[in-house]
Amino acid sequence: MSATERLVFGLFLLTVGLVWTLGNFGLVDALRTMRRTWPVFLILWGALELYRARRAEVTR
Amino acid sequence: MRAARAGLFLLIMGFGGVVETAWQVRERVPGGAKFGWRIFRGRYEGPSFPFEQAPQVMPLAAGSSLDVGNEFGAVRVTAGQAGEARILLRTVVFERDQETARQFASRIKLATRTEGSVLHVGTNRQDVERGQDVGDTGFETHLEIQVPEGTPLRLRNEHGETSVADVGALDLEGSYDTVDVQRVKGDAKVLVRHANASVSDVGGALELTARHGDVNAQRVTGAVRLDTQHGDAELDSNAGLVASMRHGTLQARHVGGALDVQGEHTEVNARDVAGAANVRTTYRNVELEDVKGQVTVDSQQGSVKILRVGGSAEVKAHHDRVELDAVTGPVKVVVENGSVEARGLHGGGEIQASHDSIDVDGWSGALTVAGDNASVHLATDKPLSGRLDVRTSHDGVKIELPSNGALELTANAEHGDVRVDLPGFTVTSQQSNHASGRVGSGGPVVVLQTNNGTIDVSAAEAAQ
Repeated sequence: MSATERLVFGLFLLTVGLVWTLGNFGLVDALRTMRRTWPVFLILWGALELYRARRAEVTR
Repeated sequence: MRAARAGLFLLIMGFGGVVETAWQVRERVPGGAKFGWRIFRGRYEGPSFPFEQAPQVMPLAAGSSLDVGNEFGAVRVTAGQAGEARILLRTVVFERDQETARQFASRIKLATRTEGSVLHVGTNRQDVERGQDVGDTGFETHLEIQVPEGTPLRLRNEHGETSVADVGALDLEGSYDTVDVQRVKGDAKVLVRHANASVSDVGGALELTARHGDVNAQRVTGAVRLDTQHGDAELDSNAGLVASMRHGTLQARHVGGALDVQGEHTEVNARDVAGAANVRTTYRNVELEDVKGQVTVDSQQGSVKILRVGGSAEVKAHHDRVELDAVTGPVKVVVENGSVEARGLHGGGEIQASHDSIDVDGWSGALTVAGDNASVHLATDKPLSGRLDVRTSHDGVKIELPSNGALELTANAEHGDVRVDLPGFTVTSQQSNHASGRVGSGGPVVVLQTNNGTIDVSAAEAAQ
């Protein structure tokens, strides 16, 4: 697993756990929040991949 | 690396799929919005605001009874002043802000009516929930009721704590939250689902039914009838106990009468039983101590331990061990594929076991031991007072008898040896696999028989 994937995976776990905990405390509607935000992980991952590819091109 | 990428991609997409599916179910299933999908572990979750209404006082003549129905909220019934019922409704509305919640709460009312000698207390929850603009607003209705001490009570509550004290005859059903009952003057009937229940100081009999929760009942003047599934039960002090249990553990102390347990996957642990004890269970252990009456146990795939019995003991067990200690009456023990360990069988009896061992230390009266592929070891330090008959197969027999007792012995070991080493033993016939004779002028008959094993008879230390 590359650094990018580890970063995405870590943020994924962190976010899901955080939202779930806030939901259990009644501070947010966990399902509504997760439903709205889950595609962000795909965007984030894609952005990191693009950044990494760009940087590899520059350093070459 | 590719596998890791694919795995992470599938994880995120799978997570998204689950979330989307849950969302669609929440939005589209009829009734989903009505009940509020914020219910979590039987309660509403989310921002909430409490509101309290002025208490309502209603006359309640002597001899009247109370009937309470509630959902999603605690109900507390306690003793109050004579001649009146005092009812307090506290609502909790789950809304995003206080003003919206206040408007919603203003629609929630107490619903009381008197029919004959019964005062019915509830709320208008159903009317509120039928309203068009309820959406997914959740609300709790908490009732605090004071009635004259000893008022008979019928109570139904779901999704809220239920607490009852100082009432008359009680008929209570509660679910999804704890039930606590104290000081009931008459009989009590309690049914609880998906929650724990505690009942104490019941003046009459108790009928306690529980599903998916633990129960505790103490100081019941009458008998207890217990019916539980998927939960443990702890009972102390009652006039008798009839229990039907599945998947749980029963602990009973100070049973003033008979104990009858029909269990499946149920562990039974009972002490101080004044009457007889009858236990039938599977896959879990049975332990009975200090039973004054007769004991009957049928256990499959679980061990049996019985200590200090005033009457007789009849035990059937399979695939585990049986332990007996200090049984006054005769015993009858049948164990398939398990061992028997017994001490102090004051009434003698019969013991059968297969594919394990039989070990008896001290007995009186006649004793018959039958083993099948089982070793037998018997020892006593007191002179025999009855016939001893031991038969087994494919294993040995070892007997330790007092040197000061008279007896008439016959021992046969087919395909084995017989050794007798008793002081004063007079041989009448003896071969390597056979011995017969007597000690003293003859006494109780001792017959020992095995095949493919050795018989060893020796002297035990004399009793002090």
